[in-house]
Amino acid sequence: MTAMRGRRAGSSGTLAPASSGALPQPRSGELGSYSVLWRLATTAAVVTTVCLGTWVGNDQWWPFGPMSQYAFSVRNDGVINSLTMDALTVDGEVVRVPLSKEMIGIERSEIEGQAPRIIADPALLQDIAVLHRRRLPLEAAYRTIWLRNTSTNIPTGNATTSTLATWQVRDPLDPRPSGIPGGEDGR
Amino acid sequence: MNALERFLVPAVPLARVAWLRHVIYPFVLLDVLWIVTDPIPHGDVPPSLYRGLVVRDALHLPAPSHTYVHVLLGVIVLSALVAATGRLPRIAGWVCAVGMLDWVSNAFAYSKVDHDHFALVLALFVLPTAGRARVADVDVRSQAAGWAVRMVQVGAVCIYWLSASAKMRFGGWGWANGATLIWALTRRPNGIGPWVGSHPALTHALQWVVLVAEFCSPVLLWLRGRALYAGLAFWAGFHLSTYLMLKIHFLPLVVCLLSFLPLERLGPWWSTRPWERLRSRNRSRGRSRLLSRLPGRRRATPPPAGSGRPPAASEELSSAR
Repeated sequence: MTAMRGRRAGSSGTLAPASSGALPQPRSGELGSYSVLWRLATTAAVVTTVCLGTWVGNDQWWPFGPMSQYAFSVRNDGVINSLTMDALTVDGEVVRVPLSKEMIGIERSEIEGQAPRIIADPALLQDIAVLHRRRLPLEAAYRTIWLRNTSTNIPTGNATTSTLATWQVRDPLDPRPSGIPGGEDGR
Repeated sequence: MNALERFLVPAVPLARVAWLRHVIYPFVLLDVLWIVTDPIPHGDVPPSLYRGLVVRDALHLPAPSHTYVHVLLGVIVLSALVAATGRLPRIAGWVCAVGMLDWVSNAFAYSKVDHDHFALVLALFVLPTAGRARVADVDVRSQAAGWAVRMVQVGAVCIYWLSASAKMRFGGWGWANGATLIWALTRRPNGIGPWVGSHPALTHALQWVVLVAEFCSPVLLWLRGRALYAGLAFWAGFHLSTYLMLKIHFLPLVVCLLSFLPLERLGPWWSTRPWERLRSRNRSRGRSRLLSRLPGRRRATPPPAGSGRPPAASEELSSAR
């Protein structure tokens, strides 16, 4: 804001470049009271909403949602949970589902956000098989998909893996979407 | 009221808005083509995994399809290219803003929401309100430009300060003494990250530094001169370190920090560099030689004897007319 300090219109000069002569200086850069008012009101609305988003809101409020990345607390003697997804292909091989936007088209963090839904209704994993066929059609199709969690103990570093959900894919070579509603209906 | 107006709607050189547009709209291209590329693959994701957001429901934005996201990408790229040139600042700017609102909300509509885009989206909505601006408008001060710049600054500070607030809401007062950084370094190890993560005391110290800095971030709105530059350098260093340790860069926020800098000085600085002055002088000499050879052109009146100064190019041109 160093350069924000400047001469105000009407105080010692002009808002526009100085012109020669004794004519009144142009004041085109100064806003009228209405223009200032709506700007102040907009500022108040934006700041209030974004503050409320963090204080009482949730991610659904984006772009005014809580600034909550890394805001949760992890106990020093706690565990670190990390979700993974594995699949049995039609070729009989167990592979790691590549959860990334570049590969299968959805991120691990997005699956983590939807983990409670998937655990409650594993049929959602049918849509992972659909996505896999759409995005990586040259890879062997998935016959079975597992959602797994690896818990790493922070003090000891010991890790244990458990299966949270299992799904037998319907029609693995040409899977159809689950048809489970998304969006507001699926919340 | 006057003090509030001076603070939130100050008169700043229009050139700063022009420079911000030259930086932020090209960054939008970088953003949609390199950073937030999720919407393209999201076009293939079955609707069951689409979670939506309030803003998408309110604007009746549909669950993205393959065609929809590609058309949207084209609209954003085109509008950002036009807005980056400074032409059609309002129309191109607002098309780009609404397009980015759709694009980024699409990226965050599948249960993973980042908070690094708040200031950028805010910037895209307020920059068009300043109207036409050129980098040559160094001496033209405008309150409309001042409000736009101030809003970008406020947006950036909100991200920092509310990050600290969120840590108190979700993590509690013991957040800084916890293992959140170790958790992050374990899941996203990069560079020196694993080494840092193996020193709990160091991670606690770093968490305290971040928490205190985030709570103190609003002072950026009042700092001046070297103190301001030091504050900005701290945050730039912070974002660089998170990139080196976690591969998290927060570039959409970093680009908005430029609004704190006197960007309007770039134009005069560029034109007064010694080598630029030399090149300009050579160009002028070449032009005057060329003009002197043209038929019907008179040579410039020689300077009075003893003045010791050759005529400047502008003087030669004016005398030739």
